Amino acid sequence: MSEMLGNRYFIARQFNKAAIHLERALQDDPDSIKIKKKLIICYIQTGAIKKALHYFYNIVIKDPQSIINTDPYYDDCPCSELIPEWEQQAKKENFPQKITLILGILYLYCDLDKSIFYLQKSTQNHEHYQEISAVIKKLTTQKNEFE
Amino acid sequence: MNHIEDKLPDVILDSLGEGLFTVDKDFRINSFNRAAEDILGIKKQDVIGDFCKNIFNSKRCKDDCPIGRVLETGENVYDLEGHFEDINQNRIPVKMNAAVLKDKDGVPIGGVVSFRDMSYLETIQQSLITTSNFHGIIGQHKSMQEIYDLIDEVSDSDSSILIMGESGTGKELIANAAQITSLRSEKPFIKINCSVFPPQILASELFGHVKGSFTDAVRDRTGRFELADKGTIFLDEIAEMPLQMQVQLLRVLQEGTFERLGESITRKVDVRVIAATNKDLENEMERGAFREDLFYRLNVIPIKVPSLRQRKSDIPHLVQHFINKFSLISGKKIVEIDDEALDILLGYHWPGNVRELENTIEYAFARSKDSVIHASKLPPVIRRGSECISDDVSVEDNRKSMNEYMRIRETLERYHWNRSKAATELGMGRTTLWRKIKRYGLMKA
Repeated sequence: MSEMLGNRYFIARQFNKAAIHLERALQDDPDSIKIKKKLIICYIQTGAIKKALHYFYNIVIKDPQSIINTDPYYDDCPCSELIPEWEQQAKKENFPQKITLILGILYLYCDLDKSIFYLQKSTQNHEHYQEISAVIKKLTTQKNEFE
Repeated sequence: MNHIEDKLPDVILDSLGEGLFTVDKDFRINSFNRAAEDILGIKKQDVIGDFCKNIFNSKRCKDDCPIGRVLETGENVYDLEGHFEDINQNRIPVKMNAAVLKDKDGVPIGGVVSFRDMSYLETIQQSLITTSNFHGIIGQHKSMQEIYDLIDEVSDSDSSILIMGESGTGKELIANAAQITSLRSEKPFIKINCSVFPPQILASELFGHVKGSFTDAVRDRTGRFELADKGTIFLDEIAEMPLQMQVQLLRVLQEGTFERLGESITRKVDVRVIAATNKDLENEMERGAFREDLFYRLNVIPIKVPSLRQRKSDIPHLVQHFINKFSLISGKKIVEIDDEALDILLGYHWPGNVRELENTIEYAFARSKDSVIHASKLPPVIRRGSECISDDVSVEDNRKSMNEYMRIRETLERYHWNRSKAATELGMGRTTLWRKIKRYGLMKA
């Protein structure tokens, strides 16, 4: 049941429930990038940022294109709905580290430059400095290769 | 496989009258039949590969996806009402069936939804409602006007309503009107007939259960009180509720709290209760079958629906209403009833009330070949039972025949017109039952 039911909740933007079923689905298919990409968003929306960063790091180091190439419509990516809300909150709270990291992660689904920008903003004294820096390095390399 | 065999699944799907589409496990459409194209005006090639929610734009996609419901409950969905959007963004009312497609290991790999366009029924319903006297109710008799006034007066109240009246008087229509005029009209309206379920199932239906709480409880289930939260619940045939459950209902009414079967977590809901019964609850209290405290909790706003024989002046309006209804449904051009037939209807006792009148018109409708319903087309039991007709049938025969008619009809309705079950209950063979159904002109409403 898990993956399809997780997808159903993800489509309905019920991220809490989606996370429960997608986690189970990931146990059956631990290498599924498709499931991890959705889980990253679910975790961000449910406040489990460390878990989100874990999978984000995991994917970017292996294959950043699998997130960069996300199509907002054909992949039903909710980032275009979520980013404005997070940006608004970031402005209100004067860009705290936690939200800039969230924006750095979410932006990779639709805008590489902004993703790098926000990830750089979030690195200072971050407890996961090493992972975030490695992600930035990988993404910068990707960007240079494009250019 | 040869070319024809390759195409066979498409040919089969396209030959169906119902719209049908299938999705993969990501909810992307992977088949879309011709009827679906016709109903929605959308071409198959424009939807394949897209998410179903992007195509159907139904509110249900987000809140209560039918395939999602099958995934959650493990039970297929039948006749679920909803709306799709066609290519011009018109809302199309549909009834849907849904199932999950699984691989050989039982893992879901997709889903299938079939749907029927119900626009014609909505048009009929709308047309009938606009010609009704009060939110779908027909009746100009003083007793009915008083009910309409009462419903209007209590429309901003959250108090419980108890609707009392004989079988077939339209108690559910009164409940519908009370809900639609209330402040909760946009919130869920859940209906349940308390007489249909055995006690344990009724408890589970009302309050929900957790997995393992009884033999068939293979997964958690949300009860109807939870589904009705912030809205209204209609408890039909409340007198049939077992005493133990009456205690639980009383608690929901008093505190808004209950527990699911097999669970100790107390849940809280905000639900307005509308109950109905065809029994005399004071008698039921006297014989200890209904709790007095529950009665007073429910009876805050009592509504007594008159029997049809108490408002015979409404019969012509009701007859015309049913003629209009069946004309719209069947497309048959019957416009009126003749005076002789109307006199017979006015002279009859109507023990089955408005429902019986509706069945009578449906029967006459089916038999009539011209634009007017004549007396000869009315069911024999009505013609014999009318005070206007003095034929050779004795009063005693007539009474027996009426009783049998009512008994058969009530049994058939109780078993949802399953003739085998009804025949067993009535203690007669299926053929005998079939003969009597024909003789009395009984038809499914």
